[in-house]
Amino acid sequence: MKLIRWIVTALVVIALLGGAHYIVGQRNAALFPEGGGAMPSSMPMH
Amino acid sequence: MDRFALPSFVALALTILFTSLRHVYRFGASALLFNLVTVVLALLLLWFRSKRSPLAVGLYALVGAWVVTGFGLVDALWDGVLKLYIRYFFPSVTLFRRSVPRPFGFEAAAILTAVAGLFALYYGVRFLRRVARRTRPLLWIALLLVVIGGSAYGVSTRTAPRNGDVIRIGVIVPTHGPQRPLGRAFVRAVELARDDRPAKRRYELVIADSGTTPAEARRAAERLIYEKNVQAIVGGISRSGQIVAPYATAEQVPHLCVCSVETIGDGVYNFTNIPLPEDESTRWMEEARRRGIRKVAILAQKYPSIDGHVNALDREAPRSNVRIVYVNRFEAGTTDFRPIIEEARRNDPDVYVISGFNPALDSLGAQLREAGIRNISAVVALSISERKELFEGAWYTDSFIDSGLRAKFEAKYPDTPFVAHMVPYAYDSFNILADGFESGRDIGRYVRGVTRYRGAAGVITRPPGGGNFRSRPAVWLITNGNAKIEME
Repeated sequence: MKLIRWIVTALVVIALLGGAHYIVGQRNAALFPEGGGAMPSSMPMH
Repeated sequence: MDRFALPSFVALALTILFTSLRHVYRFGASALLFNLVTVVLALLLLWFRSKRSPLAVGLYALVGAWVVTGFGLVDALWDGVLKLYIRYFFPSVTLFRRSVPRPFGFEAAAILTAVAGLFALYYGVRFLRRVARRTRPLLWIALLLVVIGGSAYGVSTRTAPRNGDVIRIGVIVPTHGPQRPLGRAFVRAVELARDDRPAKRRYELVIADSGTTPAEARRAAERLIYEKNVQAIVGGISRSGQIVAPYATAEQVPHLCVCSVETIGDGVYNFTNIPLPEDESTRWMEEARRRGIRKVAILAQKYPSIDGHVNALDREAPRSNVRIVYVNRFEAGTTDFRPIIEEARRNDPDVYVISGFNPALDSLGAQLREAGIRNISAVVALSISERKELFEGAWYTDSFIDSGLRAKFEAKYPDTPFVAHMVPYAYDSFNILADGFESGRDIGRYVRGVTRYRGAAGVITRPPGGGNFRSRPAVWLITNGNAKIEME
């Protein structure tokens, strides 16, 4: 039972990381269509 | 030692490790020094183990509560995970303040910090329930204060301000460099539009200088959107409009741009509001035919909006039986135009169509005058000449403007030259947005619904779904050093 809880937790974390990777990629593709994915910002990341 | 002590410590150490990695993006490698807190926690636990000191466990709990609340719950869970996902899946929820595009590593560290923080909270509570019996009431009250007060404070500072009384509109134009006259006139036009409106809502204009380089324009756009949290943007100059447009789309901020590059207007969040190059070229050729012009020489600076005008003239010429006999595209820094002028003259054009920004524009005008050339014309460009007497007798196409607006502008801002190609569109763009805000509807949806507007630039129209508000230019003539509309 404990093992299942840990496996579920790990899967949730992996899903969250995968989702974040996708969202960040989408946003960068929209903002920097020229590619590179470089952070453009002179602004602090708040 | 209690069996929950080690899991509590490990979870706290991981929370601290992940949040320090996240803060490397903000503060650099020095953020890793935050891991020293883990050493402090370890020492407190050792103290507790050897002496069973309530003070040791109390301090451990307070430091742990601070880490869990400040970094696990507020910074990572609220401002990291929830912000990322809620803004993506529910873009209309304005719960979170906008933030600059963040790299994946920063977001990933937030996810790991949040998860570790939740574990730290769970094991921390289990640990304290077992060991802190005697100090329980006081300790729990202190911890509750840290967790609830800290969370409330942290969340409130990271949440979008909700001052419904003031509407912030960003104005992005170059206010220094060669295009400064355009930018100044643009800003004045928007200020005039705001001051002319009946005071139904309060508008705050946030001016951002788009500068002379793409990097400056990017900084200006980010400042408006992420720092100033503007609700809409009016901008001028295609070069910065091209940079603002993807930000407007990504952050769903309506952006009305007095830009002639047609592709900036996507019909969703970005709209251009100025005659398109083909509107200008059609009107120019119409006037050229009326004047019996058959051969044209073009001397024009290399620049995106000028490229659009030159290409449109080139496309329209065959339809109007006009021949373009000479084209020269010069760089912005050109100072000696004499060889170009001589080359153009050898082709015996009926008119010289010129275009550029100062100082090149007036320098070209002076050298044309020296060469005895008076048959000059332009698409828009002459409106920004600072020495119109150089172009005496020249004609050009430019915006139709309401004469009342011009009089009002010149009376209110006598030091700012009236730029016909900017002022009426900037004025109308602000008013379209303000109408939208005052309608009470979603501003993006409102602007997408505007297909016809009667304003200072006459009637402007837009096909449903299109991204370009269009209007018919007028023909202007320079007489006695002043430009006046000759024909609507």
